[in-house]
Amino acid sequence: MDPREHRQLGEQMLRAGMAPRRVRRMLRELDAHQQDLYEAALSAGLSPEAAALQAERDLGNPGDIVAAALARPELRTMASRCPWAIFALLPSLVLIAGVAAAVLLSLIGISTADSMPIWFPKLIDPLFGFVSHGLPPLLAAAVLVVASRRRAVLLWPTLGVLSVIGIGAALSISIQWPTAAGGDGLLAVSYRYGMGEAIFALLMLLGCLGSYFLLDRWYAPLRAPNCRGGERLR
Amino acid sequence: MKKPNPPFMTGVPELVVLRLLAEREMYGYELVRAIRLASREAIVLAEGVVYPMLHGLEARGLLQGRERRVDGRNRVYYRLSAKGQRRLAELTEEWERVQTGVRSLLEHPGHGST
Repeated sequence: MDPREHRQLGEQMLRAGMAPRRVRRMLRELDAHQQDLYEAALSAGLSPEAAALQAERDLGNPGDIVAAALARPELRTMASRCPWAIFALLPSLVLIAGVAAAVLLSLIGISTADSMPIWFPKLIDPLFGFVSHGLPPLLAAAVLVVASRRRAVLLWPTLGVLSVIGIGAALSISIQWPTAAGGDGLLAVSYRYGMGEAIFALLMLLGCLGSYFLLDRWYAPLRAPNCRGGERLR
Repeated sequence: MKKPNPPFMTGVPELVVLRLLAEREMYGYELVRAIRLASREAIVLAEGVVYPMLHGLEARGLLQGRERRVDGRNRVYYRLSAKGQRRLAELTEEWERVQTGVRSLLEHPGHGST
């Protein structure tokens, strides 16, 4: 397999819905197999050129390997079988779960205000800020990175990004701690859209795209098939 | 030129792979050689095509793959799981039933006429 065929084979398997980790492993196995065939042909007395050709022929046509992979639905990941759930629904559910967890934590704090450690309120405010303004762009960037690694069709990831950004921009959580022992505190969770929120959504979208490009760049060496990629056989 | 397997071989490679891996763990190249040897060249798998099959069986929980470095090369060794053992028993039983039926038909085709 020459490097171009090798890349194409990996690309086709990713597009068929196989997990990137599985694709990388299969490519490594195919490379090792070709190397074994080459060495066997050399031991049988073939010249290096003839042995390389023989090994390539014995390994088989990359098209047949892809066809064999496509014929096995069990090799398709959840993200490929239910992209709407993984890319569109799951990020919003994670965000809602994050908001719920932060609110629950603060409620526990309020209900035990008398025995609450002094650092606890200082922790809750940044946590609310992170959940409503930091988590949405991070989730959106993660959706983009995963979708790009898995060569997913853009429809569902786009919906997922827009929904988490949409929820995050309009969401506001604030807390007022009880000022005296036994006093009342106030926890407010609001959701509203205005010009300010729309601009904020746009900024978050830019932040998300920026994070995506950074993550994608950081991830690139891992994304590339970690194998010799059809290098000349030794 | 290697003779391709006949079309009625569908399902046989799975049985063969499970049977051989029930004996001992093997990596892809080793397995293809073992199939050829054990079947006296009657079953010849396209070598690259064995990997989608091995990964498929692994994804179904019938095999367990383990990556190991041997002689400076990364090998993925496959072995049968408990689920794979059960599947092998089912397939073997099915194969023996079909084989008995086909053999009987080939030897005494007249028994089927009314």
